[in-house]
Amino acid sequence: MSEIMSDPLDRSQIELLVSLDDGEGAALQEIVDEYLTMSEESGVELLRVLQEGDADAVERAAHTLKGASANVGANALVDVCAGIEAHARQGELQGAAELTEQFEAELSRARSALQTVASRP
Amino acid sequence: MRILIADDDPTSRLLLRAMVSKLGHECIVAEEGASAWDLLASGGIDVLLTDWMMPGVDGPELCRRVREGTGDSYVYIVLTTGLDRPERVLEGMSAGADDYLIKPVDSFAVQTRLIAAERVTELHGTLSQTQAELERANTELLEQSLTDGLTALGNRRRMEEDLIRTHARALRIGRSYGLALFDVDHFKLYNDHYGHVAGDETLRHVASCIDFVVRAGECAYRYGGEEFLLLLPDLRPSDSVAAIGERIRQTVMDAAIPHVARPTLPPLVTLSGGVARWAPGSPLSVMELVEEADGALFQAKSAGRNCIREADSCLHDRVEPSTVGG
Repeated sequence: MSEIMSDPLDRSQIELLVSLDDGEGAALQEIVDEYLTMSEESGVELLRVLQEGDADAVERAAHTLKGASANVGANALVDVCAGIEAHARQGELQGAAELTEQFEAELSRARSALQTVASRP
Repeated sequence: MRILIADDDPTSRLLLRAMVSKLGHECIVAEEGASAWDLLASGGIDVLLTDWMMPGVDGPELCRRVREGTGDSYVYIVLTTGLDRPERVLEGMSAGADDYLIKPVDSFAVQTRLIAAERVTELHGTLSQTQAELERANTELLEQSLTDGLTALGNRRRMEEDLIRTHARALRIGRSYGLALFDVDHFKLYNDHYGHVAGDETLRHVASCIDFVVRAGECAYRYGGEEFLLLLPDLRPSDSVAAIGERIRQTVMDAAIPHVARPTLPPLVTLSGGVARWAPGSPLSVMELVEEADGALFQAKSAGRNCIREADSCLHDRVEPSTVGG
C-alpha cells in the first residue's frame, strides 16, 4: 500500500531542474520532454534484449536508462535499473528477468508522474 | 570559459548545459566521443565535461587523446561517472582527467569543479605565456652575447665561432673563403685629439661603412680596439678579396671623417687592410690564415697606410686557379 502511494519522483531533483530555469521553464521542460522520448525507446529496447538473452546489451540499456532516470529524479526506477544492470554484468539474466515486472511498473509510474510535471503551466 | 560537454545521454547533456550556462559559461555539446575529439582538436576549449561510457571513443580514450595532443592551451577535464564504479574513476584520472563528478550531477558540484578549472587553466595560460617570454628573452640575450655593444657588428666570440664553422665547411665542400683585416689609421692620435667619446662615434661610423659594403652571406666583426674583420665565406675563383677590401677602404675615405691630428695626408679617417684567401688544398688552419691577413695588414701600414695588401695565399690561389673547386 505504502509503495503504491509513495512518490516515484525525488522532488529535490525536480526542484533542481526548476532552479536551472532561466525564467521560461526551458530547462525542466526540455529535460523532461527528452526523458519521456528516450525512456520509451530505452524501455522497449531493454525488454527486447532481455528476451533475446544478450547480457551485454541488457547491461548497456539498463545503464543508459539508469543515468537518464537519475537526472529526472526517478529514483525507484534508478534502483530497478541498477539491479538489472548488476545482474546482467554478472551474466545472470534470470535475475534480471525477475525484475521485469517491477521495471515496467516503475517506468510507467515515473513517466506518468513526469507527464504531470511537464504539463504544469 | 568555453566548456565542451560530451555525453550520449540527451538528458545528461541538457542538464549539464543548463548548469554550465547558468554559471555564465559558454557551452557546446557533443553526442559521442569522436565528434567531441573533433571539437577539441580545433582548439579554444577550456574545460571538457565527459561521460565515461560512450559509443566509439569513450571518456578515458578522449582523456588520453587530449593529453597526447600538442595543443598549447590546457584543457581541464572532468569525468562524469556512476557511483558504483570507483575503479573507473581511477582509470579516468590516470588517463588524464583532472577531477570527476558522480552522476547524477548537481549544480553545486559542477560549480566547485569549474572554480578549480578556471584557476588551473589560467595558471597554465600564464605559464605558457611566461615560457614564451623567456624563450624570446633567451634568444635576445644570445644575440646580445654575440654582438659588439659599441658597433653592433659581430663580436669576437661570434667571429671565432663563424671562422671555425666556415673553415670546416670549406674543407667539407671544397670551397674557397676570404678574410680581410682592417685597422683605423692613427686612431690613438684621433682619440688624443678628439677625445674618446668622438673616438667611439668614429668607430661606429667606420663600422657602418663596412656594414654598408658587406653583401648577403658575408659578415663583419669588431676584432678588437680599432680593428675589424670581414669574413667572405663563399668565394668564387673570380672573386678578389683585395677588391672588396679596397671598396671598403674607399667607402671609409668617402665618408670624409676629419682627422687633422694625423701626420700624413689626407686629413681624414682612413683604413689600412690586409687580405688573405683560403683555397681547397691549402695546409693553413683558419687561425694561420688570420695571421696571414695580419701580416698583410702590417705591410699595408709599412707602405704608408690607407691601402690594402694581399697575403701570399691570395697570390698562390690566383696562380693556380685550377685547384679551386666549383
